[in-house]
Amino acid sequence: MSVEPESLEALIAEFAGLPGIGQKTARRLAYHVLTRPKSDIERFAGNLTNAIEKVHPCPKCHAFTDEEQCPICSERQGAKAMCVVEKSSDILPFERSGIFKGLYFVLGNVISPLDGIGPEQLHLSQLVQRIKDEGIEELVLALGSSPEADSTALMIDRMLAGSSVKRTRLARGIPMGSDLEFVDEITMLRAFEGRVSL
Amino acid sequence: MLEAVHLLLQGFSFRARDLKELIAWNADEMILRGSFYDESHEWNRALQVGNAGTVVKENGSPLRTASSFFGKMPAVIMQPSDIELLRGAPEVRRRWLDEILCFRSAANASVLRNYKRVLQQRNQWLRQFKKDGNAVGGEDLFQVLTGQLVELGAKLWSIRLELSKEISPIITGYYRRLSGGVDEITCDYKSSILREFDASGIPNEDMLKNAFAEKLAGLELVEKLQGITMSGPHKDDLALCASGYEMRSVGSQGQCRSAAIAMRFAAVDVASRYLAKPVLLLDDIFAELDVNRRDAVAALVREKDCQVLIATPQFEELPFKADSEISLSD
Ligand SMILES: [Zn+2]
Repeated sequence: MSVEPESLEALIAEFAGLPGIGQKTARRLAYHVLTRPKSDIERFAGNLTNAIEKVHPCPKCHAFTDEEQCPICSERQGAKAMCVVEKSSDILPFERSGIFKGLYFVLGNVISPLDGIGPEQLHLSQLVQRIKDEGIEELVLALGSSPEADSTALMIDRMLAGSSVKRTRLARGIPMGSDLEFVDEITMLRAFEGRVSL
Repeated sequence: MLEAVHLLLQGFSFRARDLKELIAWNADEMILRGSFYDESHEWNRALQVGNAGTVVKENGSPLRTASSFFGKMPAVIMQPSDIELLRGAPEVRRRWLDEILCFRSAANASVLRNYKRVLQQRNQWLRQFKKDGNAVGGEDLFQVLTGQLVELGAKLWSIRLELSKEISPIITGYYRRLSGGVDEITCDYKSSILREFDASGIPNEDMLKNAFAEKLAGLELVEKLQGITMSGPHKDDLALCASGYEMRSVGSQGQCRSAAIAMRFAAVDVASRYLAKPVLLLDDIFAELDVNRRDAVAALVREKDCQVLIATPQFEELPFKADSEISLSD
């Protein structure tokens, strides 16, 4: 028999489903939430619903936005450089360091037959089309260092065969297997400046 | 006990493929804690394996998997079932070789890991192709995966060949000492890719890459019919031969035991040379040996000057005096 009410157990399970959160932390968070003033929790729940309702992928670059098109796609129209990242949050270190003033394209994942993920799921044809239509001159592939990230980069390269767009990858400097999102600005600056042609 | 130390040092079990197998039959979880230190470092490690998942910590910070323990303070186990190194399937010898390959460098470990990963991805692609007549990403992705496999496979071959060249004389040397010079063994890397080259010297990475690419191109139709990758370093073996015959089929019990011990001492040497002096875990190996071999092993253990943990049911028969004793009873 469980000593916790069913609804509390359900809440703990939700927290435990989040990345990087184990059973123990999930329980601590759930109990913490319940000890907050009711208005705080309602605001929290409201923000959650709000985010789900309003935030959606930008139709052009697939970064999260609450506008029809994300601000970067709108404001930097005509830019000739484009950076390909795996996750929407990977844009942050580039923007924080201020080194890149171009457009982005968010794949949402990397190629993995084991997970049934191929070029289609990553919108690669849309990417190739955009490069052609918008006259992109440099494509920076910022995809991490896993074999799957390599497959993705090689696949993009293959789909661009015959195109004159210059393809580069970030220099190694980004720690193995680390999340771009958590890379500090200096490391990002170095990796970007040392980027190499594919 | 030895298994716990091995797990906390090497990050994997020498017995179980899944850490969950280590949970006692009537328990929900297993928790291991251990402190290890050398001259300059201290590691406090904890590993909790339960049905909900695995929690791994080092000095208080969480690690992603137990395999992150690997590569700091190595451990080498010697146990009666090591005879499988000689008698068992090629996979057993490959695993042994790959383990010491990882002792040599973290870069080697990453080549091995990535090769296995790309192999899995390519096999999945082929499996799906066999079933449905097409697969995710189509022919383009298949060519990409083949290219990656060729690249990583050539690298893996290159480091395995170099490693076997280094350890082959070491194994021969230890075996000679253990057998009292009565007979000799040799250890050679065995791969179908080597048939593409003449026997002189080790082919370099580029040569291996070309040969592998050619081989896979020739196998493409068959692979698509079978739904699996049919060539590569994951198919190889080590040939341990006594007077020219493979010990797998002709070696006596005593020869095989000595050869296995020689292989384990070679691992100790590689770990000491490239990483750190390993902890030596001896699990009841003396009972199986005759007096001469027992003395030879004891002399080698002393020479290596490692920390040694020995598990034995017959304390009196050990050729050592222990610094401390732990008695375990049921
Ligand atoms: Zn956008």
